[in-house]
Amino acid sequence: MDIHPTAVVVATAQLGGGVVVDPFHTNDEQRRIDEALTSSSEGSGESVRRTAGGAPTPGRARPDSRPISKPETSMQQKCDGRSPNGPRRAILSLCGIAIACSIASAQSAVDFRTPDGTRFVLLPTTGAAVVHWAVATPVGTQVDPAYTPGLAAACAQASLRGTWTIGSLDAEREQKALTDLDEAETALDIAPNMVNSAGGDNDAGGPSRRQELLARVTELRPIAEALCDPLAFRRVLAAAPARDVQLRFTADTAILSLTTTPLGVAEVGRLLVERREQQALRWVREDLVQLQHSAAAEWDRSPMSPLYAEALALSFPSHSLARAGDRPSIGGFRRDLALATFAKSQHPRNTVHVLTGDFDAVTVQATLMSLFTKTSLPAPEPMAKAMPREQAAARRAMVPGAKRPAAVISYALPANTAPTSIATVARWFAGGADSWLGRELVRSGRKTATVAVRAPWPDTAATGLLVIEVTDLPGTPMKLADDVLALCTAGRKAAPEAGQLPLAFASLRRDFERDIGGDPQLASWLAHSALLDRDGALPHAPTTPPFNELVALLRRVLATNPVVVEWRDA
Amino acid sequence: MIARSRSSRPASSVSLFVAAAFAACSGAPAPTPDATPPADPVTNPAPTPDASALPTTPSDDNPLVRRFDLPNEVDVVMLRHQPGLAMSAEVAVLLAGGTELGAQGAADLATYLLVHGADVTSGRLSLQQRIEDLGGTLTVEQGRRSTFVCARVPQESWQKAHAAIAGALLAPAPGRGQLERAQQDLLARRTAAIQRDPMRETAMRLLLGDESPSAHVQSVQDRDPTEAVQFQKRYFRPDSTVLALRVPGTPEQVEALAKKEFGSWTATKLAPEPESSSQKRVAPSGIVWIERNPADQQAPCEVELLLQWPSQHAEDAVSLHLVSNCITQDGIGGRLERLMQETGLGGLAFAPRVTTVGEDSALVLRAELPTDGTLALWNTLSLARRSLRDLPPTPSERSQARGAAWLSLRSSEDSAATAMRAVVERIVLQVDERTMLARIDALTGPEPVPPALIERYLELPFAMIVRGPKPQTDRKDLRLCELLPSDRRAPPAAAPDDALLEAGKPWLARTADAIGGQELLSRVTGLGATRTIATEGAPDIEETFRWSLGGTLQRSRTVLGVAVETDLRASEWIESSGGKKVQLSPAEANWRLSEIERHPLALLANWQRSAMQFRMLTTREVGDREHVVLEAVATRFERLRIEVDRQSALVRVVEAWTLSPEGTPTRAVDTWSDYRTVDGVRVPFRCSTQIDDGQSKRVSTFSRVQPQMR
Repeated sequence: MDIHPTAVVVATAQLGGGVVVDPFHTNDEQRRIDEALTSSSEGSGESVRRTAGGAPTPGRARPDSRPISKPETSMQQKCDGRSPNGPRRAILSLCGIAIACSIASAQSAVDFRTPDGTRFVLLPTTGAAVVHWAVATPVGTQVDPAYTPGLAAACAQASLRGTWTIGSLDAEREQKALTDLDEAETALDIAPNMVNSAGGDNDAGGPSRRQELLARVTELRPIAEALCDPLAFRRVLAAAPARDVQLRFTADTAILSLTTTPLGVAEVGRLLVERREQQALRWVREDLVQLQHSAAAEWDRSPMSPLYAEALALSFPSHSLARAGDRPSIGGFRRDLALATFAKSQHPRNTVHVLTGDFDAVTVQATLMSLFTKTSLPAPEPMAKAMPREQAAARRAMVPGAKRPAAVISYALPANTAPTSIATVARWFAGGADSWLGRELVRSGRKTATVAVRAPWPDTAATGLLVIEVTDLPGTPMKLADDVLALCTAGRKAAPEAGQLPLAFASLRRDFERDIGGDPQLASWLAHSALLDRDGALPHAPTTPPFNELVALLRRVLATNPVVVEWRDA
Repeated sequence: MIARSRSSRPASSVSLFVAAAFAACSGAPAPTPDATPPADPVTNPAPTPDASALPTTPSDDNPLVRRFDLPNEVDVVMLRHQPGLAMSAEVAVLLAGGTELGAQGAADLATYLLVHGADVTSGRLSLQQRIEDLGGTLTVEQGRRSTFVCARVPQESWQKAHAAIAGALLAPAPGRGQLERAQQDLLARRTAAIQRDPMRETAMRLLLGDESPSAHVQSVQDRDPTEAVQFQKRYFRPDSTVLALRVPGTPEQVEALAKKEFGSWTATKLAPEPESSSQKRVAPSGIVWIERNPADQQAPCEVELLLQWPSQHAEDAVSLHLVSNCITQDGIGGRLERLMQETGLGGLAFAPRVTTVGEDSALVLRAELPTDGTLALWNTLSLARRSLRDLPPTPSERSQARGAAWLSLRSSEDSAATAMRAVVERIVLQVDERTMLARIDALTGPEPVPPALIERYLELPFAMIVRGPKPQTDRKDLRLCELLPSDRRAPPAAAPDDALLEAGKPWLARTADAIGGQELLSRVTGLGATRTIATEGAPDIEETFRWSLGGTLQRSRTVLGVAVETDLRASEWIESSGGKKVQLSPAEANWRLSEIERHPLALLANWQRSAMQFRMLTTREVGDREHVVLEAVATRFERLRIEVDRQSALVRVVEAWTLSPEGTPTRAVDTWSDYRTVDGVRVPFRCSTQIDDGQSKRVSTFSRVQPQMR
């Protein structure tokens, strides 16, 4: 549900019945706060989506609605040193001003959009009075230009080198210098290399055009370098204060994360808006080359990479996901393309911010509403949802150069498959040596075979795949894919023993716990999950699936025609 | 302030051991916090970055629900449970044994046995396995003086997690065979971890007071495995254990269950350990140099600056964090960066992280720089620290560092397990946020920082870990560090061979044979042709070109009677029409050339003379044919793939991405057909081209194709 800005309640913490003043607000905003407080106390309609265990709560957040397992006795309060009002005492008695932290435990998740369209999820927790902030934005095939893979990620990385106001010593001159340098570098990148390809210069005398271009780049680079301080933005962020500023890429999502204080939210928010709106994208070309080189090296390290690439190409033939597994090629681009890609990736409509930690959600929400007000970025087209193609017959492909038997077998999942259900039953079926398939492979004589499963996969697909990966040692029979396909057919009649599905679910739950090992990780996970499920409700922990329905689901999936990619020489 | 439920416990063994654990890091007692109030948001309401971005008052929620002793003196701490989004619960034990106690390596073995020890004969799973089977995770934090084991499980499983931890602590001692297996497993894991990320592991080992990762592995290897059992008996005892629970149960339930599961745990009477067997270890300061594989000598050095922080609970922790942030904040700002700019290291960007091992934590700043730069960086860091003596942090510096100090102070609580440990320790040590804040405020006034505090900060260990070529210096503060004992070093990995490149070669050889043989192909120096290009909705183009392997192109095009001549050579790229001449841009020249260089004969001739290589990708069914897909490696095309007909071995499809003159990456797919033999070479006479998935289509019909031969 999108929230109209004026409808959002911006109540601050209530103390002893008095309405408090928030230093972040103007008089006008404060008046709206007061009105909101008054109206909500009279039982006004639902204004924000708040989630506590999935249940929406109408009206404003109650700062004192902390769940307590049972009423506490006065003796207990005395024992642990709390006065009856202790936990709610969130005021600086000297000046009577509300605070931005504390009473966080009293609040449930707040899910709202700011006036510029950015989705925010505030999830107050207890603990240190700090705020962990994660911003998830799409990268990869969803937003990259078709033939410049990695550009959105490179832009996200370059964006931390500052804006036209932070980091530029002379914005006007720097813009010109960066444009000139970009033109020269693009020309050098794509200029025909006649001297090298011929093994010598074909023309007698004079420098080649390529040498001229190289000289031009060498001349322009120091000019652009002298006009900026690429660490300035980081420095200003640190002073906000913001610590542990990190940018990570996971499953076609960039996650910018940092930690600040509750009162630092205002300054950090201002900087994030500036980063989005006034981006200079310094040295984005270098970032792209570095990212593409490391991605290509990672691709080369895994012999299974070409198999997964082929499985994606055959499963999503009419979607950009078909290219997602390709070995990254070192591509060229112009600066305006990078700016357009950054705008698409970072547009408020495409971003999710999550704040966790010990803070007052109402105050922080009000602060964010006043900061994320508008954007000048052009509205991006909605991203196409990826659905795997239903195969009319089994598709097979072979990746030659095999050193040992290996195969990737993928089945398209039915639309609207519950991720927890398919993940659970897939783990039981093919999740490692103790899975049904793992044991059956041993029984069939393949004692050294290894099996793994991914489902649903990839994360960015609206409807994904169930992918089984099998390998065996060199020297074992090469027809591994055929063996596994035969077992998959037999697997349609297999039934789990008692307790096996709950154990498979436990492993899923364990991975979830591992992913959210602390508040910063929780913020990142939540931002990533909310971004992938753009229209959905707030992501939550995996809940126990209906075990009695899982086998039927698996049988339905295994009854479809798979895409089989083998590592095998014909 | 956290209140204690029992006033009779201040000197309990648990409190003493926790206090002792932090004594090593706390230094001299801090001055009593003065009554200076926190910064007044009224007089300074704007959240300016330098001064007021601190919580004005700490969270007032008291996490403690109840604290009590079991008869065997296990200290039970029940914390307020809030399931949150994860709907999790936590059960943990804080044990009074760490790496500094007992013989070196014994604590590691004892903890490993506690977590991974299982008894197959009785069907007892390891603690780790039991927690994972509940859908939870187990975190083990081993410090120098204590060990914290925390199970985080779905909230409905907390009783089972509780029972699993009790079961592991009360399990009978395993037999020697099992102990030896545990020792080998631990050694294998530690070795693998060091090989996986040597820098990270070295930082961790230094922080724990080990000389090097190798020394640590050696110490574990040297232990008799039965020492692990002795260590457990001596240090993992009920009277020095805190059991902490953040669970949805009532205090009565927790008490009953704790009595049931832990009540029968009794301490074994052992003679005191000789003092010589436990040695206080301090993280070493100085440069720690790891010599890299000689094959990687040219790569820049990997560097990590290790700046130890005081324990969060040390009395002067807040002040020391403030001073630390005056030096640097996550590698940015502060004196270090200012001095780096003066010494020519201004552009160096660090990747920061916080490493926490038990009671100790450190800021680790990672970077890559040339060998010369490493020593310059060390000198600069040393200078920045020493400068505090001559010029203590100014009010402006302290104001800047104030917010950052609060964050660094709390950074060890970023993970759920360490956060719980911190809460438990605060309860035992009676420290709270309000005190911390008051201390920060006391240091941001106009009064100078006391020299004693500066000296205390300078006593904190700091080190630089370098992984690079053999150092060319004999500095006294530099020592070489071994990653692993010689018997555990893996042979250097062989250079990865590109199997896919090798797999592509036979197919290209077959293709070369199919068009006339490699010998003939090696004599090709270029290509001349005449063709008609028909594009839907546009007039036909008549074209004649002559292209050489050297990259030169002479092309003549006629459209509606107008001729356009193109001449591309190394020194100039010219196009002329009707007496007008223009110099082509690199993009335009590249565009014109790429159209010709996608010709199968041009590609194969370039491959024959090793100007191009192709990697095998896959085989695909196309209609009733099977195509082998190969991808070019390192060409000026951004991506170029060819599809070879498996049966005829002829190139049927060429797909290439090229930056168009308008700056847009463009994808062209050529489908080649009508192969005929000219001077012994089979060349295609028809090409159908699709641009950008069908946005533009055209067909080239060749009337003449003439390979140029030597």
